[in-house]
Amino acid sequence: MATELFPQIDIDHDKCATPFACKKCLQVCPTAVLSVHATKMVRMQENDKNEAGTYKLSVTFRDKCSGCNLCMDVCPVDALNVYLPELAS
Amino acid sequence: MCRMCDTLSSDKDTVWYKDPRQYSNRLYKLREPGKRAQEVQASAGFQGRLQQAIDAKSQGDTGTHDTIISEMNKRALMHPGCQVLPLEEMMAIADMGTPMGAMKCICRETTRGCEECSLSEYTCMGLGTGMYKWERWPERYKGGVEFLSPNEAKEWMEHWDRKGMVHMVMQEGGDFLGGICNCDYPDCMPIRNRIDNGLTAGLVKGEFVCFIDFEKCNGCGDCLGRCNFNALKYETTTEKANIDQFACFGCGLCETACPRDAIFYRERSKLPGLANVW
Repeated sequence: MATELFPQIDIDHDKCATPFACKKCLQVCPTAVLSVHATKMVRMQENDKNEAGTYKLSVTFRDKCSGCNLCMDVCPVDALNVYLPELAS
Repeated sequence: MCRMCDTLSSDKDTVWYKDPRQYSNRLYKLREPGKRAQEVQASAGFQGRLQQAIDAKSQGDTGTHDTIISEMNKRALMHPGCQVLPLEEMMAIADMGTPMGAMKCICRETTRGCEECSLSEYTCMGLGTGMYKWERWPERYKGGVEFLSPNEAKEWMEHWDRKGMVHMVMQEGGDFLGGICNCDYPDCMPIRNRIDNGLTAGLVKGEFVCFIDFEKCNGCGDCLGRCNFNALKYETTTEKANIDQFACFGCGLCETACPRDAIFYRERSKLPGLANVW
């Protein structure tokens, strides 16, 4: 079965609820594939990084993912899954 | 001259970021009565488009990838962007840019989860009177803002130059120069988008390119590791450093690291082979 060129990283956002407080995967990734963004930007209000859902982890540059799995290994809540997807025919 | 100078300089002999007009934004932005500032949306458009391009490439559809990237570049060309510049040019901005507020870098916050919260950590700087309103958006300016005098700003710039950060100046479409930043690959989005993803329009190369004076270079290697653009290497054959001027962005980090003054700048626009390489 043919596969895609770049690995896919699935994130379970229920498990990964406070990524900006944790940030372990962000700091361990050699090629900085992942990123974290505030889900809201409100006037006169600062987001609480410990509140679930105020920040969201996403995969920005899967073209630079080598599939080393360091992020998967370091994730304390087992929210990441790295794999090479099969090519949809 | 680069496209930034073409559209932003008031005369053709002044580089755009040294044009005083870039620092003369209005003191007050008057809004229609009863109208509030627009709430800032977490922007997904740009990143979403890039995701589509990367996914297409992953699925072997390079045609779609190239089409999206070229569309993104075409759109970026209609707006100003970022430009790389060496320390000396940054220092010139410190003399014109008041008010200058040092703050956290939003790229490093998103890529690494950095929470820069004091002057020794801040790597970014907002310019212009708009910075006085920073407290209205505590999430955008997380970690606070510290306003600096020109001399303090220069010290801060030198600090990050020693640390090996690339300097760049940003014009994000307002009527003035919005900020300056010190960042590095792979955490800096403009550098990253340009080098890895072919988004060449968002980050313009610097006005200068670096050359090595081979008479003075003794191959000590102090400059190695400073280049973020894969332009500088140690050449075993000559036992000296060498720079690929076509890859060089003119950040000058190699120049400031050289203990023998063996690296010098030349103006990009005066070199026939590079005058159109931005």
